[in-house]
Amino acid sequence: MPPLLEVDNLRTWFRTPAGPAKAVDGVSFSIDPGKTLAVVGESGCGKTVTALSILQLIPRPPGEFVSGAIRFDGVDLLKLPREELRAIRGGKIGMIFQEPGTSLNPVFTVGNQIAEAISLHRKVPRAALRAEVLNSLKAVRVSDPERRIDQYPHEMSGGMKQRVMIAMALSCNPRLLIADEPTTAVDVTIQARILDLLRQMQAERGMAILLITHDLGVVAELADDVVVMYAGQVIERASAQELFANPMHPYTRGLFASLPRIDRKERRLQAIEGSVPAATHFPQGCRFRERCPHAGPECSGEPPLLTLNDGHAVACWKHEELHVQPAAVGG
Amino acid sequence: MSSPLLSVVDLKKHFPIRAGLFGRVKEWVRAVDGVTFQVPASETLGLVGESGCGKTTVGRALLRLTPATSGSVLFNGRDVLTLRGHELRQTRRRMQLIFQDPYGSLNPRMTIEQIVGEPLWVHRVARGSELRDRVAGLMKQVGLRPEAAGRYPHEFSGGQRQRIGIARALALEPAFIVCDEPTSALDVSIRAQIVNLLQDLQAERGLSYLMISHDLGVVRHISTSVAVMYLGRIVEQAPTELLYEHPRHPYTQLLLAAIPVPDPGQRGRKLHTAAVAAGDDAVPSPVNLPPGCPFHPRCALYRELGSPEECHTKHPDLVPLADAPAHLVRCHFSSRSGAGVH
Repeated sequence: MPPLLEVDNLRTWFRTPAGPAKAVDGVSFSIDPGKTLAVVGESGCGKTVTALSILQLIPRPPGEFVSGAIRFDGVDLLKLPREELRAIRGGKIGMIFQEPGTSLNPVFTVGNQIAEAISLHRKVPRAALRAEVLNSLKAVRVSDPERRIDQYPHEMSGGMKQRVMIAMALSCNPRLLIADEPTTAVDVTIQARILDLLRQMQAERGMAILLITHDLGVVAELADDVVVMYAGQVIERASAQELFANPMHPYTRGLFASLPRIDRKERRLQAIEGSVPAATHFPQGCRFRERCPHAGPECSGEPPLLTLNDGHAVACWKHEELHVQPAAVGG
Repeated sequence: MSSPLLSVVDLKKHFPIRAGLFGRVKEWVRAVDGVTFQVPASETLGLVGESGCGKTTVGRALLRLTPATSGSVLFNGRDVLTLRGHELRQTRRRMQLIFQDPYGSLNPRMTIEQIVGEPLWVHRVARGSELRDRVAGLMKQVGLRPEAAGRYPHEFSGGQRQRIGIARALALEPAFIVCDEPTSALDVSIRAQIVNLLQDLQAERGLSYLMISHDLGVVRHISTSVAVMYLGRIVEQAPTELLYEHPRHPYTQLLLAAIPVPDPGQRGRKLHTAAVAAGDDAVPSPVNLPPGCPFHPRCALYRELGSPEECHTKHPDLVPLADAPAHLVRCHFSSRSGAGVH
């Protein structure tokens, strides 16, 4: 089965007075139809810029696609004329954002906004439009849709607004849904409902999901495959089962070790020292080496992303050495 | 448990909602509605709950950053809410606050030395070279290089800024610190650094913390005991292990079940149950509280028991469990909530 989306050696840089900020610097991954790929990393690792690059929602300038291809259904989106791209954006590829509050227009009712999304991509007669909007609200289990359809965003809670965003993104039956931190701004009980909804929607419609998140718990709930990003690059890639059972990169291991868990108690958290380097001043060679407890002289050369058995790929010169050590850390 | 350093009794904070031309008070938001707890010396009380439950207002009211409507806050045996003048200033030195947002809580026009040294200067503790020495010492303690004292906040990362905020809170050698979501604006790898720093400082200085957070993982890690708030009231309070291992209020059970566990093997196990149990997306507002137990419209136990009358007519009290006196629960049916969704 050919992948639905293939990101190939993508470089999205930004021009700054301090030199180019290499926000995304040679990222490759692919998503199969109907599957969920999670892109994990901390702020500034380039995960959101990667998502925005797919739909070309990057302001240019200062942004710039320096190299790479983004193939959706075999077509390179980066080479597509603006009109055709617009048909795909919100049509075959839907997107939901972190802040449902700021992504909705405050001066139109939510029904109005969903209707706009539908009529941009599908030929629906005016008379049938309201029924179509009601259907899309019902599909995402909005309670009392007849009343909600005429409400403005400020009359709704954060969880309800995110549900409206999902209704809008799904109204044109996308084959790929890009979800950028969909639950970061809501409380845990609402998060549980949104994640549960995304899982149901995927089961019903068979769409693929590109999930951008920093929360490893959310990854464990939804993802089939995981890409870990650090400083603009992919440093590890594996199936979710494999990654959680056997994290290889020292950064991934550090992330797992630094999580306080609610299902067990540890005496002391293992922190990763230092902080993420600025995108204009990435270190030469391995970009994690200044924070890495295992760094050696070989780490001054840039490590390739090596695929090992079972499709588990890692970009670390020392993965063999570390691999034989029992994972003292790790989930 | 040692004798309490801080004791909060029936604390209330109601905000007026004004409307109309003359700003007449139309309604009251009962943000904090009768909260009672104690923080023993050198221990940490975790205060958890979802946004809007009133946990931040509790912290602000007990530090007198917002005037409380009623209640008392005993610190070393004296009521902080009625102190004035010199005594109030002396007490404020002993009670400090660490903020959530390391970006908004530091003045961008002041150097780190000025920020960390300001409390010392205001309270006339140190001047000149002595002040500089004290600032350098504080910076070392929180893991910052003293040579950076002349720099401005924008030159530091989020985690480093949070260290600056902690150094400022430590300057007057407090006994008690309110930590209001100190790690929620930080990345995972940095979060662990700050949690470890707070624990080290507690061990070195015998500090007491009120740890306000919605992050149940961090709270479990750092707290001696935990109080769960819902719509302005504490609904469950217990020593940490007891609360996490045997939650007895249906709301606490829901909160714990809703957290995704970082283990794909347990995928979907609890989450779907929690999603169903969570009920509607809308949490009732603290303006129009439902009659009876404010949690009953979302309560799984209420539905399971066939909507018993007490739940929607009578407000339950926070009472100790018969089998565990240190475990307080505000539920008419706490004797039957053992299993629940958890």
